[in-house]
Amino acid sequence: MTDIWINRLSEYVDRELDPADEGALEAHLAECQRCRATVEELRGVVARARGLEDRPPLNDLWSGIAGRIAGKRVPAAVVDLGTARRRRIAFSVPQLLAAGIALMAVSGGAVWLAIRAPVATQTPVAVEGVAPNAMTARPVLAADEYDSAIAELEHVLREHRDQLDPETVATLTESVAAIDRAIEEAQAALVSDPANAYLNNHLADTMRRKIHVLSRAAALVRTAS
Amino acid sequence: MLTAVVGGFVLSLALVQQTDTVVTVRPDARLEVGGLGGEVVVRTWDRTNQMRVVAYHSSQSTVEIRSGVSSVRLEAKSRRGVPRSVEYQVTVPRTMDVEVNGTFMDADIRGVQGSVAVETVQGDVRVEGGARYVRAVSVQGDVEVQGARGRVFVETVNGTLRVRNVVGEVRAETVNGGLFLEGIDARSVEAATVNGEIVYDGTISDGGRYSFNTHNGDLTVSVPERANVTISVSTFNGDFESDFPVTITGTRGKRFNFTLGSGSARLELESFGGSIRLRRPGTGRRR
Repeated sequence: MTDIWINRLSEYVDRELDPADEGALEAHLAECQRCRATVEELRGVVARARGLEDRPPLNDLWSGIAGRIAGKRVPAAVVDLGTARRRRIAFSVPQLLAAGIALMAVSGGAVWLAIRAPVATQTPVAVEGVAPNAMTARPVLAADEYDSAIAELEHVLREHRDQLDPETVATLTESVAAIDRAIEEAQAALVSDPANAYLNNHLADTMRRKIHVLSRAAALVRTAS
Repeated sequence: MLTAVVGGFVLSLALVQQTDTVVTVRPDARLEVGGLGGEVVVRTWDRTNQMRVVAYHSSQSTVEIRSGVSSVRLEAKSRRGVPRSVEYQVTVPRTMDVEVNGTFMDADIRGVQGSVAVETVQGDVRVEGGARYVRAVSVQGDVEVQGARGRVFVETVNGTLRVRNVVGEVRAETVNGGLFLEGIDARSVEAATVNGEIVYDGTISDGGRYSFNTHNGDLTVSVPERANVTISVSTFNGDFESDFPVTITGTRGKRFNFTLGSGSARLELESFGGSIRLRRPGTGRRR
């Protein structure tokens, strides 16, 4: 039988369980080495995530970049942090593990644009008040980490798809394809409106959704194997 | 239709063995049911320390009832491993917590006043009742939660989500499917889908936070007349319409904000390609 607690460990780590559930889970942890180990892993991920810089969206950077690509100076847009969204992200165990990687990658869709726009990636661009390295180093890592996480999760699904019911595989595949289409549309929209804060957040959310679905698929594989 | 009838007949023939027993339980214990396929139906009764388990399964399998200090676990077994299908009908004290975990399993849980957690891969989930924490998750299937009080989390990948008459906090996510939240009394609501519409008809409480996000789909939200809320609207290809007059500020293309009353609540409405509509309660699209 599947360990019924496995998908609630992240809530436990986040102290989101009600007292009764928390007590029951702690009793379970005393007996289950696997869950204890997972809790430790999750706490490590959370600690790592807390160590990351909480950055505002990079719209202000991108508007400057876009302006320089076009050969004109564009004043950096002021990001209203008061309206910046702080979405709650709740991951189950495998999702949270993946999120440790993905967190850096999906902090803003402008990251994607900044690292993939040929000029921006091939030619370091100085933006007023921002050192070039501050703009280029981390996003490249973020994209790599994101791509790596996606590739790894897709690999798991591809290699172990025979362990899942074909209908489940079809559902997951179609859903990921739908998310991919949404990502492509958001990316295309960002090309035409790169400073659009909504599009940046929407792209980031949609990329995060892909991680979420693939992580879920990986969890199903793990449960089935 | 004929296939379904024949299939159901064949299934009923296959599940010939019946387990029917009453066991003593603590009213604060947790019921745990796990299995590969079939259906789990949970109902409640007035007895506070007894649980009845009826299970239909093949003659090669048995249902084990394991009572622990804080839980009662139902597990079907056979000589060939985990039975492919078992139908459970369990009657429990109202106060028990319920946890169901399956793969090809439908779940129908009603009347529970404890927490409810259901997770399946292929199957529909229906929960009526539940308190403190209700989690209903599927991959391929519809999920419906009604009458819960507490924190509610519903999720599927391919299917429709319906949440009705819930008091508490609501989070709902799907990829392919619509989200229909009606009669909600909550200070915090998050709902997101990629392909599907979202309908929300519920409270907008002072200081509350409400977020609705779809990529391809319309978004219809009811806003009570005296709501104190700051509303942000964002779309790329969609339109915006409102049943009542609003004064828009901070317009950037198809992104803008406006405030009703003191603006203490936050309402974020986002649809990449669909229309965003504001309605008065009771006039939103019904499903």
